[in-house]
Amino acid sequence: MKNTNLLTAKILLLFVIIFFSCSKDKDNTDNNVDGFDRSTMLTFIADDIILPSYAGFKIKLDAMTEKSNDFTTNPTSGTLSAFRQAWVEAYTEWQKVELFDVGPAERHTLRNFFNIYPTTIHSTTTINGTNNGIIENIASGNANLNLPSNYTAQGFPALDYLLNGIGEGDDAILAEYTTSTDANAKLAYVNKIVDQMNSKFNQTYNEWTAGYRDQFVSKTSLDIYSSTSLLINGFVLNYERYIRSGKIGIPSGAMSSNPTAYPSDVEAFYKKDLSRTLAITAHQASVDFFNGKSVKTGVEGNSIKTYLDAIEAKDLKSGKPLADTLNGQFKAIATAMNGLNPDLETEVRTNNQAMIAVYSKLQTATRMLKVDMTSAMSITITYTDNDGD
Amino acid sequence: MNDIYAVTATDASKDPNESFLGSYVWEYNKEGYKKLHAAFLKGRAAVINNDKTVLKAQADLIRAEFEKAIASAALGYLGKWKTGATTAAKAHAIGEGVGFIYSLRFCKINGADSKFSDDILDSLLEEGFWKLDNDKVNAASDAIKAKFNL
Repeated sequence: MKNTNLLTAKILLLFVIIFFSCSKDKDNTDNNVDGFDRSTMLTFIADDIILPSYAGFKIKLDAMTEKSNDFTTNPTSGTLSAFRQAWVEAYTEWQKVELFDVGPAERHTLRNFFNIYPTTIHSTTTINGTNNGIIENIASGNANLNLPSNYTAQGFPALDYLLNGIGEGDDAILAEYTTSTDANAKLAYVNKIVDQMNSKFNQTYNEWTAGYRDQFVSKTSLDIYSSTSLLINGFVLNYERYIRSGKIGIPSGAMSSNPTAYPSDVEAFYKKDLSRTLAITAHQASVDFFNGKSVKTGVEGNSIKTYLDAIEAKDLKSGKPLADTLNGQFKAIATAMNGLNPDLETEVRTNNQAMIAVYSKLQTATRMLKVDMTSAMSITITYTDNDGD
Repeated sequence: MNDIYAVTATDASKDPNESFLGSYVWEYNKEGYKKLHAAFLKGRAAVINNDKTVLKAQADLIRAEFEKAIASAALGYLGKWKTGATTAAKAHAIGEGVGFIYSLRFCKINGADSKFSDDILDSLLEEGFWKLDNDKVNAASDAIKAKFNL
């Protein structure tokens, strides 16, 4: 019996040695073990896509800040409409950077201070003795905008309410900032929100340019701390939760088991005619990122698409290249989105079938990105629990 | 008889018999997970051979990979506090995260102890769940990353 055990142990040991020598080849710590140079891809994504996108957003945010200062110093119908226009442009440009949820943007959770909606005008929930809504924050004057309970009382959605929804019509809105008894408190809150956006964005952008860029292009492995994994996780999370669900799925009610539409949950609800533009811009930014379209030159470079082509990732159903299948789906989504009413709130109320149809197409693309693409690339989705408990 | 550790696991799906710590190694430390099977076999052979040196080396390897998974799970849940879109999701994440940070005290291979765990928990939860912000969560993450070289 003992001899048999020894023999078993020796066989097992031999097996172990074979196992070890085989498994070495499968280690993904090398940069281009699968015939694709991830270092080149990460460099291109950083220098030609992420950093220029941030630079582009900074221009629009700076412009909005200037118009906001003009308005809060001297609220008139002229400064109000200039502020609104700058807000529209900055909000639209934001859609091109929200998807880069990696590095400093992840560390500082940039999105939470820019675009969590629907905004909370008035909160009936008391947390630690405070109600966190725009009205309560204006009244208290000392809201801590860094707390999660205030994520929905700041950023573009809160400005949407303050610029477009606080009164019925332009005269009533302007009166809130001129003749109203708490006009100064409201102006102070506008400043506070815009300051917060500048502070969070500049912190993120500065960290990117002062060190993180080099770290980003150097972490070329595929483990959960690698740049590729963090980048893809952030990209897929944004596509799933903030494009598919946030912009289309939740307002249309397509995601609830008891279909109820929530038209007032659309993005930019108070502006009315901006929500479709924002959705189209965000989706196009994801498509361009996928295809590696340089923000500087417009020419496609090393990207997820070339990566998937290099490892010959196939769509399991059709057997065609996965990247081509995804691009076909992206095109179908873009066409369907273009057919929606510019005001998605109206579309939900009057023609919700079209919204639900767009949602279904987004859902198909989400599955391809989250399951087919990540498994082809050996990337683990880390933003949801996998342990099954 | 389960004589081979996690034999049916792949990158995409864990062994259905796997639970507790093993499933967290699979989820958070895939590179390490691949080494565990061999280490258990080698360790078992070492027991039979009464080879204490090899036995300890394999046990340390297994513990190191488990520790990395525990630390990564702590980091993962701190990250999910950030991405959690609802209060419920954030509460779930911080509940799990606190458990994993607490258990870092047992990660002796990486030099953690009860003071290390408690210090992180004290500053993280000083003012309770509702006053948690990015700075507190980042400070906890940074301390774990530094200790475990992640």
